[in-house]
Parts: sequence; structure tokens; C-alpha cells
Amino acid sequence: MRLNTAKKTAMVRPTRASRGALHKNQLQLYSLLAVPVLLVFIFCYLPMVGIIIAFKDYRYNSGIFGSKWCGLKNFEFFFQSDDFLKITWNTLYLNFLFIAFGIFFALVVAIMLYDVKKRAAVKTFQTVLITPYFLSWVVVSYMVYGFLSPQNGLLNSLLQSMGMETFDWYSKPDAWPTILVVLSIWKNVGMDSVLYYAALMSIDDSLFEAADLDGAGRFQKILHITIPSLVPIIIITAILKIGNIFRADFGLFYQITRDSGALYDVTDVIDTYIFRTMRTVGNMGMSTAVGFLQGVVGMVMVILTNKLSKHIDPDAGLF
Amino acid sequence: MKKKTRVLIGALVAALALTSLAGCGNGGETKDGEITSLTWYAPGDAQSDQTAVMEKVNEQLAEKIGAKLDLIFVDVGAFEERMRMKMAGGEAFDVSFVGYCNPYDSVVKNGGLYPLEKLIDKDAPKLKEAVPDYLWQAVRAEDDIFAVPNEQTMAACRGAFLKKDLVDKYHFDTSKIKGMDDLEEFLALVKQNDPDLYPLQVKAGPWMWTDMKYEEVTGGYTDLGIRIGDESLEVVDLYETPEYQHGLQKLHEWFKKGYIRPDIASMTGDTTEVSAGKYAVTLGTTKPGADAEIFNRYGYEVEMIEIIPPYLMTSATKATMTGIGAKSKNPQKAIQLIELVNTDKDFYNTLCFGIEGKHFEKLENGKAKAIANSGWNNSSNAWKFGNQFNAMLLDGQQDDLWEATKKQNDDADKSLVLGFVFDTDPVVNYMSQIETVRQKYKVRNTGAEDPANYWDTYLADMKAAGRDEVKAELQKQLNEFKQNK
Amino acid sequence: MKKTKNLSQIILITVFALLCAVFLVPFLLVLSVSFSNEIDVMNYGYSMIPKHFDTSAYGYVFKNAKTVIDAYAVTFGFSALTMVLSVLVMAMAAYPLSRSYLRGRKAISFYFYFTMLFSGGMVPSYILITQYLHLGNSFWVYVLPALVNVWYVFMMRTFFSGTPEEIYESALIDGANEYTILFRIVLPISKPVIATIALFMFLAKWNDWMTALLYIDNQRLVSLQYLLQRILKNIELLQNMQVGSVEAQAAADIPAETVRMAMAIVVAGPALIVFPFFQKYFVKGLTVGSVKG
Repeated sequence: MRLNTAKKTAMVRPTRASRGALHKNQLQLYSLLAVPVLLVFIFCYLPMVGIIIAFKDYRYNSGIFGSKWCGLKNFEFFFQSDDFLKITWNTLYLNFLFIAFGIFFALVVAIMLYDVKKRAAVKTFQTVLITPYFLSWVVVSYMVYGFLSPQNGLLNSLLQSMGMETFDWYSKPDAWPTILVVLSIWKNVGMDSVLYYAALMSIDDSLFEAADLDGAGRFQKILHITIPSLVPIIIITAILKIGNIFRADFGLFYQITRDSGALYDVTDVIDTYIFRTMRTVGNMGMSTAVGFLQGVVGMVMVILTNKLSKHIDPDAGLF
Repeated sequence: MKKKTRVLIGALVAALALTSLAGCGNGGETKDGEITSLTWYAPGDAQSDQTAVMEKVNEQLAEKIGAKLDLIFVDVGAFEERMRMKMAGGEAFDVSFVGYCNPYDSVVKNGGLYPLEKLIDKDAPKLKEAVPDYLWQAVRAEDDIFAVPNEQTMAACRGAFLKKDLVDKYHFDTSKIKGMDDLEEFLALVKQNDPDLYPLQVKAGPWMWTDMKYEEVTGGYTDLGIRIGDESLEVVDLYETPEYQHGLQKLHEWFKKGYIRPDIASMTGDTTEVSAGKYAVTLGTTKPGADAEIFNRYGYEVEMIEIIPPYLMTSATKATMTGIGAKSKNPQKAIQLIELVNTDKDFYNTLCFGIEGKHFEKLENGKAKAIANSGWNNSSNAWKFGNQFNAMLLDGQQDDLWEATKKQNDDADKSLVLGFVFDTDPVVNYMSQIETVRQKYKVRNTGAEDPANYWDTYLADMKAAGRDEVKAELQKQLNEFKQNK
Repeated sequence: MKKTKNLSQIILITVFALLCAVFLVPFLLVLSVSFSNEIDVMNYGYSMIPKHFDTSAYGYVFKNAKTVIDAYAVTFGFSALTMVLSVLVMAMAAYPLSRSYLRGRKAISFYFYFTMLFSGGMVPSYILITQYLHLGNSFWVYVLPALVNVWYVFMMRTFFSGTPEEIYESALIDGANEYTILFRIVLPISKPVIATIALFMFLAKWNDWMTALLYIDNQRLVSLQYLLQRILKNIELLQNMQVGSVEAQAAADIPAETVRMAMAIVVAGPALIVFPFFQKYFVKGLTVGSVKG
């Protein structure tokens, strides 16, 4: 099919261009890279010295280098905790749901929006869909409370008027994975879909024209043109998000649940656990240690997904 | 390839050096002549007329100790975080507020403050006398002293506040209230006659049953403590004490009778209700002038009933203090400044009230009245700079307010563990698990649920979280404390 | 054929209209509560229409109008500046990384990516920024550390590599250098993604409050979000105080519930107004799917 040829051309490497010219270009490319590489070096790599705090008994007056080494002591509390498995599972499981549903719904919204013809309508819809992005989790938590509050909450009033059983939602753990996923999507889908929408913009219209000539239907076009051309960006988003799968959105888990202890079995994640630990025994080494662990796990996950993604599309990997 | 890498690294280093050079210019201390500049961080919002006040303050400072003050306000909500960064980052500031929004125990443990004992002996002898001995003892840590307590109301009584209009309406004789149980009759009256009100305000935690004559000794993180006056310092779990058990039963009973708001389990924060006078009875800290404070603030009158007599807890002595940064370059001048603030009333009041005629007026009765919108007013929170008892009285405050408060402090029963700090290092792994269990059961411990439903699982969860180990460690440390005393 | 198209358009628009209602209701609720009377909110809970129209929450937020306006100016300034500079800098990173013939491409990609996983934490950054770069208490502390967002570098890279290779090749054969290709060819044809990322950067900075919390003492340099967070945090702190405790000040007069919502509006309002300016770059013209115009 025409489509495949179009895609293949895009993948051909520029072997035809002369090697000499390319050699000269290397320097030009490096010079472009110089500024961003330098900025990253200063603002990201230099402070990384601080990772050694994870292995130190950090004292303010001794500083990073002056503090005593303490081996793996700062990691112990995390692994020795009885809650270790629970919070790790919660973090991974809920983040997985956020990523999967998040990408799916953002895609659906972007693809559907792409089909809307009225320019004014597209603008309005997009604007409305991103409004939740501007509400901080604190504000959202108050709205959610207005909805779920056991006393005047809208949901309970509704259930009551229909003659159904009402609940104290803040002590009913099984409802919460759904609540959190819905809120996470509601808040982010507008912004996320903007990105996919931008990707759709860059599809060559001639592909659709060709498909029209071939008599392809709407879903065939989505399946054979839209989705394949979005694959690279989907893969990149997924990999980047998976790298952070061990980190949780603190505001969501802390504010929205109102830190309700009754929900800990399903809503307690690494970041909220660390927050509590810091509140009781506040020690910089421990939080740095967990941050380091989150990085290591993220690294492993990313290397795996990166390998996997190359099976789907050899060009799509992160590195 | 290798060469290129080397060139690249060279370029990076050069550029880095340039950036750091270009950035220079501010920071560092300035010394003009003999005058040392001191930075002081205090919680609060910056005020518009600071320059004028500082001019006057610095005049006195230059003359008295040869220093110049650079007072920087950081708002209360950010203070702890900001000071933590400054201390953890080894910044060379001189003086800082230490206390409720910059907790003394953890700051000391992390090495954020400068040891003061020798410094005070040598450079600020008057300061030593200005603070009562029991306070010096209370703030000892790591065998030294790291901050100077700013005296204010420290010995707390706990008690109840009953709305006066209701007391009058029911012709209720408040003198018969000696403990929590005695409130029942009043609550019943409220429920019956004023159904719009919530009869009793409850705040989850060991103190919600005000009869508890105990002291928590781990900084409020484990609910382990000792009985007030128990010389043997035997550790008890506050939740397992007979008083608390009784209280919990009682609260559940009251909850069922409708004396406690039905949404107590999921409620967070109720300032609005308090300010609107929705509670017939609130529980809290009673002190001289607390009833007047409530009237001034919320506009309704209350009758203050003391249930637990004045008692000085170790934690209360550390709520408002002033310390010197561990990396301060001028600790001697800094301690002299702290001494001056705590001993020179005139200087202290300039700092708190500003300039007479501009920021406050002196009334005929000798009291001060702040001028509205003058651009400087720290009169109501003078404790953030120093000994509040040196502050001028504000118009409307009772004449002997400071004398009465000081007397309450001095006469109060003193904690038997004054100066004890629980070192959590040996049990650090259990601490967050215990915190998890505490939070888990917190909402149930409000009376909303029948304790019989969950008490056994609560105890089992606590045991699994390692509370027995923490208890044993605490007992060990308390025994050592007792021996060394 | 035409009929089914119209029908599908109607269905699509209806679906979106419903979806938008779901999204908009909470926002309108926030707006309504922000204009409500605190006592009403306390007694009757949130409602879509204020029982009594009341602007005291905004009065509280704008109590120091000058401070808020200063914060608006500062925030707009650093958001716009960061947006422009960062898009430029990130394009300078993303373009070379999108060229398959760049030597060491994988290593450099990894160099960037690594920083997404590991960081030294706040303290080393604080030391670096205040004691070595002396950026504390300056406008630039908002801008410089935020110029490279690795996430967006990779997004851009993906878009750039999606552009048909022939375009580059013919340019290279014509003797164009890489700078010309980036600035004259790649950037102009990548308007949708550039606009998207510019928008993201702008909004990320618009919502920045951490920087001010850590680095800014000067009241005239605080960011809007920080200023509002401060109001919120102060309310929260005061809410948890016991009657009679030293810390409690005149907290009771603060209409806490409504102020919270008013603040959300104060922050989101202007940002939402900015949004349509970006939209024109990534909203497709009227003629989707038909002949290119």
C-alpha cells in the first residue's frame, strides 16, 4: 500500500549524502548542543554530588563532604518496613493505571477532536478540557469533598434519594483506585491530548487524501494512518512516564484522600510514606536514599521498555 | 574522538567558571568600620515601614554593641522549609527564630544551630540571669544549649470554654465542673435547647479527653508518655490509660446522643465553625486572658473552666526561642544582640512596636495603642523576638497580665522530664510504621465508632508496627535520664 | 456520503459538549463558591449559584492589591521569558538528537535522560544556586534552572525525526548548514509542536511556587502562585491552632473556604486567557481532510 511506502521513505538513512559533508556537520550539531548540554551539566549534574547524602549521616554543620559515611543505614527503614510491599505495590499499580488510561483517553480525545471540523468548536472544547489542569489538588480536594462528604455530599444525597445505601467514602478503600484514576484523567487529559493533537497536525494530509481515493472508511483511516503516525510519540510518552512509575503524584494521594488513614491500604504510596517518615524522624539522608532508589528502579524500567519499544519500532526508542 | 571529548570538557569547565564569576556581587557580610552586620530571620510578613524602624534600631545597636541588624521576615508557612534549606545548605546567617515553625529538637539533632553555653557565659552574662533556671534546664540538648527561650505563656492549664450566653440562658452553675464527665449535663441542655449548635468540639488525639493527666514525651509522634508527677518515669501508652479508655467510651456515648458533630470522622479544620460560635463547648489551653482573647477574636463571650492545673511541659518551653546559625560568622555579636533584646526593654519595644507617635501611641494609663496601617506592628506576637514579659501592655490587656502569666509559669508544676529529648535513632525503622497505624485509627478515635469494634485490632496493629520496641527504648532512655539527673 | 458526515459531526459535537459540561461544572462550582458568602458555604455546602453574592474572598486575596499586581507582573515576565528561551534552547538540543548521523547520539540522549531519573535533591541545588551562582533573590533564578526540560526535549526530538528525511537531504545537498536547516526549515514546519511545548513551559512556570519558596526574600519578586500558596498555608496553619495558643492571631475573620476558591480563579483566569493565543498554531483550519489550501 501507498502508506507503507511513505513510512519506509521516512526511515531511510541518509547514506546518499556524502560522508565529508556529514563530518563537517558534526561540529555544527555539537555547537548547537553546547548550550543545553552545559545548562544540564550545571543545574542537574553538579547537584548530583548530593546523592552521596543517601549514604551519609548528614549533619548541617558538617555539610555534604564533612558528614560521616553510614553505609546503607538510610535505606534500611524502607526495606525493613512491614509496609514496604504494600506501598510499593500501590505505587506501581496505580501509576500503571494512570499511564495506561491516561494515554488511552488522551488519544481518544485527540483523535476525536481531530475529526471535528468547526474551528471554533475545536478551540472551545480544548479550552474547556484543559481547565481542570489549572486547579491545584488542594482546590480539587475540596470539591471532591463537597461531592463525597458523608454528611452534605452530593453523592450520598443522590444515593439516598434513589433509596440506595450511603457510605462514608473516606473510610471505604475499595472505591478509591477508581476515584483516583478518574480524577487523574479528568485533570490531565486536556493537556495530554494537546500533545497528541499537535502530532496529528503534522501528519501529511496527502496520506488521508490517498486513503480517501482508496475508499478507506473512517476507522480504517484511524487504524492505518492516524495510529501508526502517533506510535513514536506514544512510545516516547510511555517510556518517559514509566521512568517515573516509582514516583507518585503527592498532591493527588495526599490532598484528595485527605490523608485519611482508613484508606492507607490502597492509597498509601512511596511518596506519602516518605512524607510521614520525614514528619516523624526527619532526616535528609533517608529522603535522599529513597529518591535514589526511585531513580534506580526507574532506570531499570526504562531500559527494559526502551528495549521492548525497539521491537515495535526500531526508531522509536529513547536512546 | 577522545580529543574531542577533552575539548568539550574543557569548554564546559571554562563556561562554568565564567557563569560563577558573572554571578558574583551580592551576598557575604559587610563590615564598615567597627560595625558588624547581623542577619536575623523571623517568621511573619514583611511590613512597609521597616526601613524607618531599622534606622532607629540600628542607631541603638551601633552605640551599644557595634552592630547593624538586617531583619528578614519569612512568612510563617514557609519558615520551616526555608530555614531548613539555609541550615542544611550551610548558609552563614546569624540569628533565627526557633520554635513551633522551626522545631528546636530536630534542628539541634541535625546540627543547624550554634552551641551557646560557653558563649553566653563569656559574652552575655546578663542573658543568663534574664531567663529562669528551669527554662535553661528544659532546653538543654546534646549537653549544651542551642537557643534562648523567649518567655511567654509556657505553663499550660487545660480546660473548657463554655459559651457564656448559654450558661446564662440555662442558669448553669459552672463551678460544679471539675472534669469532663461533669460537662454531660450542660451538653444535654445544649442539645435540647439549641439544636443548631454542636454541643462539644472534639479534636482527635490523646488530649481530646481533657482529664488526661499525662505528658507525651516523644514530640507527639507515638502517644507514649508518663503520668504527671510519676517519679518513676514509667512509660505508658496514652491510649491505654484508664482515663482515655473511659473518655473514649463516654465520647462514643455522647456521639450517639448527638453531642458531637456527626461528620467528626471526616472533618478537617473547623475554624469557621469556631469563629461562628457553632460549638457550645470548646476544649483548649486556658491561661490568663484567654477568655478576653476569644472575645476579641470571635466576638462571643466564654466562661473559662480550668480542668488540669498549670503544668510546664518540656515541649512548651521550646515553642518560642531564638538561636544562632551554626555557620554564623559573628556568634559573639549575635549573642550580644540576643542579650540586648531580652534585657533592654526600650530596644525590645522598638523592635516590636516601632517608633512612638508613628507606629504606636502611649496612652495615659501607660499602655500602648498601635496606630492602624502604620507600616509596623509586631505587638501581638512580641514573643518572636524575645521575652514577651518585657513588652508594653496593649490597651485592653489586664494590668498585671505579664506578672500573672509569669507567676503561672514559675509556680506551675514542672515536668519531671524537663530537658529530655527522645533519640529516635535506635528505633527509627519503627517510627513511620507507628505513625501509619496512628493515622489509620485517628478518625476512629473520635467517638464516632464504638471502640469495642476495633480496639483489639488497633492493639494488634500497634504491636506489629513495633510499638513495644519503641516503648522499651523510651523507657531505657528515660531511666538513663533519671540517673544522670 | 455527505449526510453521514454531517451526522457524525453532530454526534461528535454532542459527545464533546457533554464531556465539556462534565469538565466545566467543577470549574463553575469553584467560581460560584468564590463569590459566595462564607457562612452560606458553611451552612449549606457548595452550590452552583451563590445564595448571597459576596466578594469578600477576593477582597481578602487582593487585600494588598499592589503585592498581587507585582506578583502578576513578575510571574508573567519570567514565564514569558522562560518560554521563549527554553523553546530555543530545547530545539538546539532536540534537533541534533533527531539527526541519525550525529555521532554519540545515544550517549548524549542518555546524558539528558539520566537527569530525569536522578537528582541530588534540593539541598545541593540550593547550595549551588545561592552560594556559587549567586542567583538567590534574583529574577533569573526563575529562568535559568528551568531552561532545559528533558521531557520536552525528547518530545521535540520525536517530532523532528518524524519530518520526512527528503527535506533535510535536499537542503544539505543545496549546501545549507545545520543552523539554517534548524532555524529556516525545521522550526517553521514544526509550529504545532513548538506552540504546544511553549504553552507547556509557560504554564509550568506560571504555576511555579517552589522557586519563590526556596530562593526569594524580596517581596517584590515573589511569584503569583507562591503568594497565593502563602495565603492558603497561613490559613491552614491558623486552622490547626488551639484557642489560646501563642501562634493564633486574628485568624477567624478569614473566609477560608471561599478564599481558597477565589485564589484558584485568580491563578487560572489569566492563564486560560493566554491559551487561545497558542491555539491558533495547533488548531487545524476549516478544511480538515479536504484539499490543502
